[in-house]
Amino acid sequence: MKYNALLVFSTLLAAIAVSCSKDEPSSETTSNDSDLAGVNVAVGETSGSFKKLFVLNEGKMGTNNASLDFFRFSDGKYVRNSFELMNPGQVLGLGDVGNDIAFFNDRLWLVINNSGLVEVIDPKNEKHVATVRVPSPRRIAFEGEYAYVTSYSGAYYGGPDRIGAVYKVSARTYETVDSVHVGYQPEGIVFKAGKLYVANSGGFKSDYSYDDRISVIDAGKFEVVDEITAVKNMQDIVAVDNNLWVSTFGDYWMTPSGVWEVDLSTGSTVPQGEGLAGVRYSRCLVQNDGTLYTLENVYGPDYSVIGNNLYAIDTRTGNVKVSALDSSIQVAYGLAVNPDNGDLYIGDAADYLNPGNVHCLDKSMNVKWSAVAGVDPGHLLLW
Amino acid sequence: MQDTTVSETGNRRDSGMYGGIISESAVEGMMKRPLVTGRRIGPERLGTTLCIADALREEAGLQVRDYGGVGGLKTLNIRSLGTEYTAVFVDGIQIDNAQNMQVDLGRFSADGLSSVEIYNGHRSLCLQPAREYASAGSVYLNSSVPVFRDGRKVNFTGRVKAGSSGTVSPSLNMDFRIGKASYVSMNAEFLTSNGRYRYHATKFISMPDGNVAGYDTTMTRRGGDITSGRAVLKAGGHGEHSAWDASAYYYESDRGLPGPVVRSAASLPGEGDRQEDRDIFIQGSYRYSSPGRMRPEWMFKGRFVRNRSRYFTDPVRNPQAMPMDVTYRQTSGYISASGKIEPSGWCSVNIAADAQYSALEGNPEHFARPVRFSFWGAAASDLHWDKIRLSASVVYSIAADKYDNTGAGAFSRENRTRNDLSPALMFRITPAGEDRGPAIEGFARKVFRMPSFNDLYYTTIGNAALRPETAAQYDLGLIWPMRFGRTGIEPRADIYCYRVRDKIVALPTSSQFRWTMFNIGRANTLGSDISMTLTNDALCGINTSLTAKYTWQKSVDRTDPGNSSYGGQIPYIPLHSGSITASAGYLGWRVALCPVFTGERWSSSANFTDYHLDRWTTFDATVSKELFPGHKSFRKSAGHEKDTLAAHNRLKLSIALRNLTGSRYQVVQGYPMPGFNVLFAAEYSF
Repeated sequence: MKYNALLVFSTLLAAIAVSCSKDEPSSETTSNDSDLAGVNVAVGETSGSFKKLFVLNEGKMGTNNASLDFFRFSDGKYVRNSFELMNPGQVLGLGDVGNDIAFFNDRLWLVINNSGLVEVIDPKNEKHVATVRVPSPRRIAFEGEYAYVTSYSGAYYGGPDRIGAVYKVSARTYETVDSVHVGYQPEGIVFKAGKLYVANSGGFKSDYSYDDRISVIDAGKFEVVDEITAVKNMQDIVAVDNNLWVSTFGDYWMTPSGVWEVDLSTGSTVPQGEGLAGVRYSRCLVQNDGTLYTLENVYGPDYSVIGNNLYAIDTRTGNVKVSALDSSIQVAYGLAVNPDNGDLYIGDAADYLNPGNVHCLDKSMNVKWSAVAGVDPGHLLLW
Repeated sequence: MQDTTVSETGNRRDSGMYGGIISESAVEGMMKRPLVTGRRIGPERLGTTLCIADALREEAGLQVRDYGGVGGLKTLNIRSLGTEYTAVFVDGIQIDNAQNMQVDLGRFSADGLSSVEIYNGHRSLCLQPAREYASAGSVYLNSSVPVFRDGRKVNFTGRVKAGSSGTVSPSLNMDFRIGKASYVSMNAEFLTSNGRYRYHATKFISMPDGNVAGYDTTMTRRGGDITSGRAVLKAGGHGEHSAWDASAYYYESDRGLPGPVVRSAASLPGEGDRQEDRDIFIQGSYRYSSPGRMRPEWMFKGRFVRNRSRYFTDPVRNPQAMPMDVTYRQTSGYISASGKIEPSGWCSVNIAADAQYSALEGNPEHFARPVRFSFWGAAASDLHWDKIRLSASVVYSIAADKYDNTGAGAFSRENRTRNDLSPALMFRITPAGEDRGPAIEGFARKVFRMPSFNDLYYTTIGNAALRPETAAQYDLGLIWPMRFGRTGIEPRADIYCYRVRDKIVALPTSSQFRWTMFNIGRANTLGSDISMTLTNDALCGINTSLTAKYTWQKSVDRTDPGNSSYGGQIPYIPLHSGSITASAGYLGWRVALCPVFTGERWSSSANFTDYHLDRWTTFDATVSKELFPGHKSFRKSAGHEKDTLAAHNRLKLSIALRNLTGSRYQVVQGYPMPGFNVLFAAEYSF
């Protein structure tokens, strides 16, 4: 075996990455991921306007097993672990806890929470392009030529809690250029009409008081210009028409989980109608053509299933449709909707510790195909 | 080492009376030998190691879960049972960690110990506290016996150990004889280590083009430093029919918690999580045997403990860290009374009652402040004839908890009581008599473990509705010590079957943020421990010994047939493991070589390649030399442990070369172990 120095990693750990190949010195990898052997899971899928469905598997915290899979529409194959296969010299792989995935500026942006970085890759072949250092990053949004990443890690001035921040990253140089403090443990972030809206969860506040504010950042000045008081422990934030929609875990105690509409003209939450009040949220809030989809999976104290549902919220009429998920789906954990045909892609975390599955469901909730994914397939993206 | 297996002589070697002083071990020596034979690690081995975990990993049937480094957590699983089942006894009284029931063996220095004994099941003496009958697997740490020779009144031993990772550990021991039959011992030890060591991050994968590609990088493990101090004051003595001992123990440590190795952004310091501990305990025991009819014997034990643990992060230095600074304080008190009578020559009856109070205080918000009052009542009978010994025991345990309910609804103080019964049957058949020929031993027992405070009441994770987790244990073993002239052979084989039910496992409920404990796990273990010891006393004046140990354990998850983990080998339990210890002694020199082998394992019961942990083998070598400056019978006594133990002016130098081949391995996924490292030890006593 010949060892061939490929890149020098100037980390605190003074890591030196070395690539190795059996015969030739530099057959590091093929340039095209079409060689990656996948499992044929779907016959007769048509590409439509999308080439791939990317699946970012979170992995189990502390085990460094975040991974990136994709489903290729052209041949109906599901390819596991593509980042590692296309970047075998990357020391310690994709990292620990994949928390968000987004496409912008011809690049795929992978937010790796416990590794404190955002990995930028080429969606055509999953090849590494850049790594951006952002401590405790959570979610990502884009505007202009910048990426905005929410982070649990703002500056720390003592006390039991650390304030969160939004980091501004240049999509041209892949460098952090600025940051601004927001609320506690910010999660979702969305851009709308010159402003960035950040859902603060406060989910790790030491006194369990949570945060209930949406921070409003002027994207041009990159300053917090306003706060909207909404609901406790917010997670996702989505802009639909002129309003925002937020999801919340509740406080796991008296306040239930759910989805709320925030009226931007009044700066307050809209009282829930009968349908919306019945929505229980566990994961994801995804929009397709004015309809919001969210997942519920709840277990009782004896580990029996209490809720395993998909909610479809028509934001214009307020109608809510509840659909029980197929019992083969244990823990619906990731969600994407195909705008071409209304197909749903659901990441199933199963027992959260072992490889989960990705299921494709047609509009009438029948399983079209299923594939074995990585651990906790929580973030799905059509490209 | 030739003395790693408990045999009749092995047990007595350090338990006799030297210079008319009796100690705790001597008290144990007064009792009959345990019915089911345990294993013993002697002072030779313990003298060349920093902590007892290093010596335990050579034993059959045990898995030491080592998180790496001097300060890294080291816990022990006996025959695939959870760490919570392993009962650790210091001088005969069980260490208690009410919070998570895991005992960190890294905290117990090998210093000042005369032996470590391991029993699969309980120790099975004729007279013992009730709680001991309930242990599923037991480790006894027996402190040294003060030995006063030739009318001396003071003993002094000074030790220094130093080695890789900036490790330095001086210690001091002094024994004073008080009157004719009692003593006071003082022991103090200090340890510091920067915990840094190099390791390799290596991964190669098969590429679609048929090539293999990956990386192989040297990294340095940081943030695992430790500074600790320990002081022990011990006193003991005996009368004509009684023996007593009492000790006070103080331990303090400050260590870094480096966490698992994960990818980290450039220039992001991963250090900063720390743990501080302060443990104090006092304990004592008193034993009285009456020479009267039915030879009644009484034993009383007591222990009082205060532990304080603080976990905190450094959010200034580590931008990824969430601020955390929590402190837990455990207070517990334990008392035990047991009595034995012998209604006839072949029968003894033991009745014992133990009680314990444990309280945990903590400063996290919504902390449940649990308090547990436990009671154990045991009745046991030991029947012994010429060739057969039988022991039957039953323990009733009850644990009554009080805690703050912080669940949905309101805050209130609540009660919950759990109880269970542990019966056990043990036998030993010696067809050729007790001290000769083969012995067939075995047991059938049912044990359980109460849920720990963390299982039950940990904020947002605990599930107060948990039942005790139970395990059935069946074991059959054969020991056959043989002697051919100066050569001794001792083969030993055990087969066993353990079945765990209502296993407490953590599962997420409404989201990955919300894990809760459930009683839904099931696991079955079928295993075999085989060992063979060869000793030769005098081949050209060289004492040699060779011990080979092998363990096979098929330990499978039987929780849910629909789950990918069903039928898989449970985490971190190798199917094959073993060790060889070869040693030779000549004129005070001693050389030992010890390869330890652990087969492939998985970090999850779903045995996918993603969770596969490679097999590993390490080679450790130890060279030591004993010197007796000014001792006349220097040449004669060399190699005869009994004499040298008591010799004046004894200097012992040793060097332990560990992981000689620089084997790259992980015992726990994400926690790489050190490569080649060295430990020097010098011990001087007079």
